[in-house]
Amino acid sequence: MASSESTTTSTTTKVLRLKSSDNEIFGVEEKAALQSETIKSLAEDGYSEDVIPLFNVEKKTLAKIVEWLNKHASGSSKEELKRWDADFVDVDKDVLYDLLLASNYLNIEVLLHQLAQKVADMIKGKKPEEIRQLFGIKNDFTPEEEAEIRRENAWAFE
Amino acid sequence: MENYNIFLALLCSSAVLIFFFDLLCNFRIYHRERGCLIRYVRAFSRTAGDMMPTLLILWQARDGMVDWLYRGFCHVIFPMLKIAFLVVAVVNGTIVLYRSLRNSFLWDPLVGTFITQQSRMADTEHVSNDVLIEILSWLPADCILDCQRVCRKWQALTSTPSFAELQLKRAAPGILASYMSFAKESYCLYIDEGHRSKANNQTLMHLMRLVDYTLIPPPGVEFFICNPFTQQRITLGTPPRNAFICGFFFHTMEGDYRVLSVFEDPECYRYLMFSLQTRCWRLLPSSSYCHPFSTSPIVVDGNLHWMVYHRRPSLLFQHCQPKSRDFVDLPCRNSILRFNMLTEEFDSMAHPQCDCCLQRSDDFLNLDMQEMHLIKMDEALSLCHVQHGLIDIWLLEDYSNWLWVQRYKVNLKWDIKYDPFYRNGFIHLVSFQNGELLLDWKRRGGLFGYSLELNTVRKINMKEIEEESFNFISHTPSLVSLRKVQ
Repeated sequence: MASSESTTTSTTTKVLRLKSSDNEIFGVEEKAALQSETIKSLAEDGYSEDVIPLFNVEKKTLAKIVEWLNKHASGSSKEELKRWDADFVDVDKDVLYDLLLASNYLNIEVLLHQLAQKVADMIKGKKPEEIRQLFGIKNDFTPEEEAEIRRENAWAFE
Repeated sequence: MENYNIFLALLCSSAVLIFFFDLLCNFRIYHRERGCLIRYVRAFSRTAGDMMPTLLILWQARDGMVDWLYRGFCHVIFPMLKIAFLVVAVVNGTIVLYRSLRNSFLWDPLVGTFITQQSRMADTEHVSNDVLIEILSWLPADCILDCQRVCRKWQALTSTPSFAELQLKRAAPGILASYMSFAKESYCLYIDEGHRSKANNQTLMHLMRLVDYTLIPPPGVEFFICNPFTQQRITLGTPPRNAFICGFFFHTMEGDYRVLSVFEDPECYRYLMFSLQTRCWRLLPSSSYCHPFSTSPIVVDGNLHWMVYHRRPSLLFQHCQPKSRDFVDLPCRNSILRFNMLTEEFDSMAHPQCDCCLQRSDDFLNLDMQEMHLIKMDEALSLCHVQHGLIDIWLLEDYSNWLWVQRYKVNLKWDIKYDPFYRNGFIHLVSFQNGELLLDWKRRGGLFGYSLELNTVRKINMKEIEEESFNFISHTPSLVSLRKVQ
């Protein structure tokens, strides 16, 4: 789990230290941490002995991310991971959004896919107006343009 | 704070400092005014190799030391940046990085962090486009049409060829039912898990399952390729020499759609290939001894595969005697016809357990092979052998060594013992998708899904159509354009 400075790890497993934007440090085993392409490239650039600063990730989000990284490096069975992941992404909208941005920034492809699918599920089956409400988007089409798009896609809405 | 000079370099030079890479891709910073090398950075060389996505932000402190503010891949902080231009400004000791789009990022040198202006989901104005693309690409094609009506930005993001490709790669396959009629009104329907179906009036005479999203109906007169979801069509005309269309595929290396058609030669079967890029038919030098039937080929590893049953009598193996005047059954070791996209040559391979033809009587030879169906499972070639309510599923685990492994054994007997018709019920394997084997089982009343995980059978419900007359194919509705070639 996320904790600062895990000193109890054996000498064989290397621990990387990740620093959140609000300066909390998380110790993560190298194997788990390198699932993030961003951390990987930072580690390769010589940060591995040092604290790796993750400027775009807040403490509470990074704690969740570290939890995910550890779980996915733990060698759990596929079925178990599937169940665990379903619980993991079952969070409220704001948390989901923070996780999404963080996983994009950290470049953790698998997690990004899971989160994006979760958001996509929220869009599925909604009318354009409902989608605008969900995301706070202004409709910038003119009524004529809207009619035009509707007409173009008419075959799909029969 | 205003005493700091801040330099931003995106693989370019600035007025005072010159950034360059030497032949070994080491990164150097040269101070022009002082005429000396300030930094020689080896660690950077790895990222310099990729050229494009490298971003450097440097600053020069009062003592003349140049230090990194940020170095790394662009996409880390500017995912969509790639080649976009950056402007940097200093406001009250905070560096403001602008990018060409509306997002701005603030760097606070005191805390050493980026302060992004992004906040909650209810403010997608600032969500980077690639995160949006990531989300939208997981939606089925009909939802994407709804999304295109949300706003201009969403419409633009979902209208590119690369988005269509990504969406197709991720979308779950559905089922397309086609109805063939000799009257004018033939059509195809999308079956969306029985809840909804969409009808398109099309004058299709027959549909073949070709690639996931495109179909060729071969009517008497004219052939065309269409994406049934967008209704986009490209006419092929009539292939020369009365050739019969036997395959349609996407040539990944050439980025081109190809159509393969076959015609009879006195000695063998010859082939014509149509390219959507060149828009013409060309005769292939290679030929085959057996006829690829109208079932569409399964494309795995750059090869097209068909089950074949007969060969021409004039080209018999010496030990086989022709049973009919026209055709002779093929030995099992030649029962899968293969076409290589790259070399454009044909050969034939064995189905698993290919010694079976030695053990059975000749009468059953033909029938048995017709109960074998090729499908694609987990990106591998798979052969399903259907016999009296039992389905053996083989997977070609090692393609280069042609090594088959029996993966599943499906027993439908427990389920069909209540069904008086099963004995005569020919089961056609449509596909394996979303964890289910799709069985076209007309005698039992339509299309059925068999879950390999749960070992259960369910009827796939279709409103408004009589299953008897329909032909089913696996199909992923997609916005992919046929004209995007290249």
